[in-house]
Amino acid sequence: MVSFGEELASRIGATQRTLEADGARPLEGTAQAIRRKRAIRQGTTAGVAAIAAVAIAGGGTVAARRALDAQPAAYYLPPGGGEVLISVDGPNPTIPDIGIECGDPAPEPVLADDGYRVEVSVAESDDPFYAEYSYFEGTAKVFNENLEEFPAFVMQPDLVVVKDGAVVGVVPSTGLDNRLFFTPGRDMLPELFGASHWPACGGTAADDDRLPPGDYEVYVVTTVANSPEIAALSRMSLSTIGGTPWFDEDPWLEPNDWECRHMIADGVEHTAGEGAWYGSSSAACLPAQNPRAQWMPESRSLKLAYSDGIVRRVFETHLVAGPFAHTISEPSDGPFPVYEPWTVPPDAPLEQCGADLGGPADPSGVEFVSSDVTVARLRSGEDLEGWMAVPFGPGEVESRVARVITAADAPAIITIQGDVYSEVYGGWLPTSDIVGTASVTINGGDDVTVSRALGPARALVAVENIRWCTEAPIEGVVTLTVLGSQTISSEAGTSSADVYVIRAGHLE
Amino acid sequence: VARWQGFYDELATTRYSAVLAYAMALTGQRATAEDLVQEALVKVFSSPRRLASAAHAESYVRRAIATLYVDDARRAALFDRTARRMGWGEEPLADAPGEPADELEGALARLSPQVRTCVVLRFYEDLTAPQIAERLGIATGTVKRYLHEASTDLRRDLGVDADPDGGDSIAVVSHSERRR
Repeated sequence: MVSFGEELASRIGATQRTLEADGARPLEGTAQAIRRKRAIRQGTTAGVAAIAAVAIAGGGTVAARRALDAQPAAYYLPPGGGEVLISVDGPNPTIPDIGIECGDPAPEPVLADDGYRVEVSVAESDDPFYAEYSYFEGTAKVFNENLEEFPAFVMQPDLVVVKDGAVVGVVPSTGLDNRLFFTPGRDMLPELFGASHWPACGGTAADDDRLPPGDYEVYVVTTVANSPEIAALSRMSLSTIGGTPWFDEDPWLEPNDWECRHMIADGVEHTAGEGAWYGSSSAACLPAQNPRAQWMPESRSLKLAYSDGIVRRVFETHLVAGPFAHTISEPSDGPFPVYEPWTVPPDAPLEQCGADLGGPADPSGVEFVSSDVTVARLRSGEDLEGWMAVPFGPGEVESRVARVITAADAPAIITIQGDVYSEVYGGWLPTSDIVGTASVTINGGDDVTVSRALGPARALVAVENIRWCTEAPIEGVVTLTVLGSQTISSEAGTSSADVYVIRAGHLE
Repeated sequence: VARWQGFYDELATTRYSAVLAYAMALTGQRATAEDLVQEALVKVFSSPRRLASAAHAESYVRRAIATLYVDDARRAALFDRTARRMGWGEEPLADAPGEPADELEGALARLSPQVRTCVVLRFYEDLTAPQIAERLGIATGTVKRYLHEASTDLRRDLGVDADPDGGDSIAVVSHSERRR
């Protein structure tokens, strides 16, 4: 039984999403009316008050009428269809069971079945990186020759490893790829695959369970399928941040929190429903993300709706390509090569103009982005407007509100993004090339309060005492690495970092 | 850019839908809610109050929405202005676009504006009766009377149970449960 308060909140949340999808904005003339009223209050332009009143009454008619006809966003489920109940502790229905187990004989190739066909190509490269890291990658192109059957969902391939005619390991599919379903006029889908870690039968991700070095055969098993569960989860994933809703427990999250609809990745804000994102989601977000999804805490299950029109036929077809020869090498001594942190002593950056700063080894703390972090803006001497996002959640800041305290007049290093060719990596790596120094003060030295409900908080960044390596024009993506303390304080406690980064980014 | 303008732009861009949805919970109609929000925005951002952030401003805008809506004289003017803006002429609002979509919306629509506002503040904002009274500038006893009226009406219209003095005890009951 849903309480009245929950029902009311759910409806207000649903209305909000519809309005957001419609791009609702204040009526025309609102900002002008405010300006005029402020001016009147300050005794400067009293004569325009009457005009303001007309603007309020007459403005915005077209926008408001258009909005009355607004439809919900496309990712909402259409009416009709049924419901499925899925336990979040059970098997993920979008991960196929290909029916191949360790010890089985090598699978027979099945390049076409049930109206579907696959063409697999495996990358061949002399690049030492491939050999050193046992890297195997390629593309499975799946063709739908059932001209009337859509959608049908394509899963990430399983990679079956065979030695001496018997299966000795499987790199399992990660399941549904939300971008990949057949629709009218889209009868070929390319599914990329790749692996560098090769677990032995019964093994785990631990190194000891890896297949021993040697020559193997790999079969690429691509699954095309549909079912009410897959259909429901696919639609769900299009309306959530975290892809298919396999949850993190996050008791501090509430349904309408900013995080339920947004995420920041690489300095850019992404909004639910505008792309498939793979990460965690939370049961708490369900009502906000999809009003037709229900979290059943007693059974730890999801009740999800699906449309009849999406499931024309329940089926699972496995297409098998191979064998492809593959050599697994001795495990490398380290993880994938990355550029070393702090390749330049941070206390002497101007002596190292043009050198790669690297970066802090653990850039923990707030995500701080600003679209104002450009060379031109820094040279103008104006304050920058930035946005601070605190990493809330289990194991992070376990609270709903946090204060961010930053040191005033903290030294900062200005870098631009460059790249360098790495013989070890066999490709281009990003660098942070030093172009200057400065001192940074956030919000005049005042704290910044960030709440989960509202999301990132606005903060002004004063960048002073700038010393450039060169007065010549500089082009590139700018980053400010601030060598000053940053403390996040909440009811759950306090955490600090000695370094934080203000990166060029964009929030909607 | 003036300080208030930055906060206004932020609120208009990122939080307007939330604020408008809140106003729609009170008015039941988008057009009147848009006018109500506009009035609240103008009231808050043109006041001499110093705003610390967009979130700070939003809290005041939400307060203003509720108080403006329960103000009889303002509400009459609001409806009149909205009707003119939307070209509804002299038609009663019941005939305007936005008829209640279901039983719950219908039941809310039948509550008086004051009662409906108290219901939203109690069950959506989770305010206590004294807090609602402070927010709306009315007596606590009046709030309790409104919530009691609401519980009576909602029980009649939706078959729900209610306790205006207690917590969130109004429960939504489905048709099938009610028939049992």
